[in-house]
Amino acid sequence: MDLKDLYRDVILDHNRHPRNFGRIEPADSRAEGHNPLCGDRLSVFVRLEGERVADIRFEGKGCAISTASASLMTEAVKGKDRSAIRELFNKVHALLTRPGSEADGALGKLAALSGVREFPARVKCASLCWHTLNAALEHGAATISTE
Amino acid sequence: MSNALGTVLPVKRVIEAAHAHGAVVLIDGAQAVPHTRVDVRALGADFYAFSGHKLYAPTGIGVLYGREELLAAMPPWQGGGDMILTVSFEKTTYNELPWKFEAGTPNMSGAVGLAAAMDYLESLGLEAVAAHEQRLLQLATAELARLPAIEIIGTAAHKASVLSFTMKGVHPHDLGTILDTEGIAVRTGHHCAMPVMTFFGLAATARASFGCYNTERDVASLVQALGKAREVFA
Repeated sequence: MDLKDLYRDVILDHNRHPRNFGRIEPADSRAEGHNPLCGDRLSVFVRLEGERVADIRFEGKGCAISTASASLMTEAVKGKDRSAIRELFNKVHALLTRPGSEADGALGKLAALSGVREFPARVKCASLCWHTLNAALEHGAATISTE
Repeated sequence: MSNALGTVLPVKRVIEAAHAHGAVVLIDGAQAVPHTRVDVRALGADFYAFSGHKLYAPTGIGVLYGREELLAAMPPWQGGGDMILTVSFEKTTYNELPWKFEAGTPNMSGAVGLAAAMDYLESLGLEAVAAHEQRLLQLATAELARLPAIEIIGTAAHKASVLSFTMKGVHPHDLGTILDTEGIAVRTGHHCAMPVMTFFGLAATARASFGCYNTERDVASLVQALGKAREVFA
């Protein structure tokens, strides 16, 4: 386990300067995510054009992994439609949890999260934003929890 | 004793005040028992609970003390082997204390382990352990207070060997992961004490706890590892 695999430059950069940070008001859909074990909270705001996520923002407080993951996610999904996002969600989930899974080319910068898998206690930090986005897109407004 | 801050609370006075209003008092002594000698009668506690794993015993075992007349008046909380004396269609007679409350197969290995851990602590001397931990707490407090990025959370005059802190610009969970890779185990999070975290306006802290096995070198390692965390997030 090397710390550099976890705290890659991309991660540190997105933690320091989170992209798409803030709110969309009014949003077509929003959801709250909460990791009760560590206290991380984040809100995801989505503006939809048909099936497509035209704009997305997030805000909240969390560790570097959760902040960077949310920031990278907003960049990755903006402009994509629901089914493409669902596909991406599955790829990220596999990257974070499945031993030996290689970063797919489609993941782009999200591949920087591959080091998280070696730190099982931190997987939830990285996946919180994705579960929250999923809740916003699939179930409308909701609070989801990683517990 | 607060597990989040280390603050030693004036439990005896709290119990007296509660009793003055007719309350029955249960004290969670999980933190206190490994660090100080506890006399439940002198405190006046009606109930006193502590867990084994905080005093070097196996997990899944603990102790619940209760005043005899309170326990005698209470119904069993669970049915199972050993908690009855006689059973007929008309009447069930519960067993005597403590069996009334110990239904089913007991955690025998846990109890033996807990007793061995208590004997071990007594062999070291509870007072000697407490003095050792206090030395380490004072040393670590002084060392961490010199680090400009560190804020110590919980600065009561009377503390047990718990040092809760935050580092500027580094979330406690990131700090925990970095310290872990440097061979240092700390607890991070809200310590199951969210109201006190809210009081300090924090979501989480990192917490170093000192036990009988820690040394001054461990304090130095902690300081060095905190420097490493600063580098990662520089």
